[in-house]
Amino acid sequence: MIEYLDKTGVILGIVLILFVMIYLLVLFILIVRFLEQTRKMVEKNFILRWEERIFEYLSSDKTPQDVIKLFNSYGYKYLLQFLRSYLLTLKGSDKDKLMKLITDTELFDYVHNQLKSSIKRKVVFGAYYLGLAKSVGAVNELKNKLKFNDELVFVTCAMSLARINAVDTLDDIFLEAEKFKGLTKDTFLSILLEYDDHVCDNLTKRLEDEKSNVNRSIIITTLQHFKYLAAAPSVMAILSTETNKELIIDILKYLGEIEYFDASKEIEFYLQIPDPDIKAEAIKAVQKIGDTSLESKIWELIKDEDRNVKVTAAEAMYDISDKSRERLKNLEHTMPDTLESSIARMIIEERAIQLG
Amino acid sequence: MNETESGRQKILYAEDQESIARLVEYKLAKNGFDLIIMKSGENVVETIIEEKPALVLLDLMLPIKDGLTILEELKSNNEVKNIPVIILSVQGEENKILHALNSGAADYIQKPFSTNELTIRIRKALA
Repeated sequence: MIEYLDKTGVILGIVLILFVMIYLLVLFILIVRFLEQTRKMVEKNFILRWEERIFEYLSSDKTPQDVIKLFNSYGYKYLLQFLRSYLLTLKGSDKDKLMKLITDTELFDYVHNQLKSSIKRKVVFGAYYLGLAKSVGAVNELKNKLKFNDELVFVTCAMSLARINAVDTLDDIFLEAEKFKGLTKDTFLSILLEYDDHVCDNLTKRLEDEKSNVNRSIIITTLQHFKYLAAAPSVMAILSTETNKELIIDILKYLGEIEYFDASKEIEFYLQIPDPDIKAEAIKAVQKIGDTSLESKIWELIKDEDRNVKVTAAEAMYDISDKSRERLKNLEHTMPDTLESSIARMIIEERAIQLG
Repeated sequence: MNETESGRQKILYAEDQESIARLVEYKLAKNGFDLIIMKSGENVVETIIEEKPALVLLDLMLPIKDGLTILEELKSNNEVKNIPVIILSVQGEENKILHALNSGAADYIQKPFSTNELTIRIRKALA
């Protein structure tokens, strides 16, 4: 009997504890929801009160200081969040005026102090908004914070330095990037692409001494993005000795993008090597350069054993010249009922659809 | 129909980014236009048929129905096919731009954009 009562007591105890835990959990969820709703309400009220004043500022001769003095410093956080979507979506004089609200007023001290903090969340917040406002006055602190030893802080600061177009800090970015083994090629590339094309000269100089194939690849892809012709001799020098497949492909993409006619002879070499991926990229480069002297070489590659090479060669034949296009159209008669003629038909139909 | 009672021209703007829609509304109001703002692609075509705005400003990535589908539906409807449509989109790929222009868009403006440039292009499309 006593044993039975003991067991019942234990069960009741567990039920009671579970009940209290559920009660606390529900209470916790309600508090979180309440705080979130309050935050949204404060933000909404802020926008309702201040939106028109900001819009008015954009259409008037008011100075940024005239506008910022209307705000209490507790509202700065909301103001920055409010400005964010406009800074990302606008360009021209509207964007310039909005950037000045951050760079030319007391708001700068607030954001710069966040950047100077030793708390990661604050540093990221400060770095992000100073980059968005292209704040030249924040370059030194952003450069310091590259050494914060945290990947998110590094990426945010590097991205902001790039947005500000601080090309002098390029070496610091490359140097500090080496510390983050988890930093992907795509992330690094997205940082460099935030610069404007003035970065290309510095990147070309760096390319000449760069030993890392990953960094070379990132630099060449950036140069390709900006279609920077002046780097062609440096890139060609790498191609003449390079054996790394990924890098060769990146170089061929670059040469095609800048339509570098002087590289035709080197590209011709890559039309004849066994690797289908390199061969396909070499065909695309010829297609973009439009070198008709390589037309017969491309024609032969329609009969290549790799399907991707065949398709790429057919696409190039469509584009290189009117003569090569006619030759592609006649493939149905010269090689009827073959994979090659099906591919030719597919390309011709696809292009007709694209042209509407 | 394409003017409001005050004689101002009506523009329908389909945009899911509310903050941008409000700024464009403010700027265009200052330039003599009245805006009808729609936050998704739902019922945009029906509203255009009913309201007959002077011009349609269309984002491409809209919830429920995308901008290109709306554009194609407008251009195949005899009642509203002559209303000029300007695309205002973050998408800048050549094939998207060509598709929109081939489908009958009067102009294509890529985001980030300038509100001053937008106003001039609207005036040009309405001229």
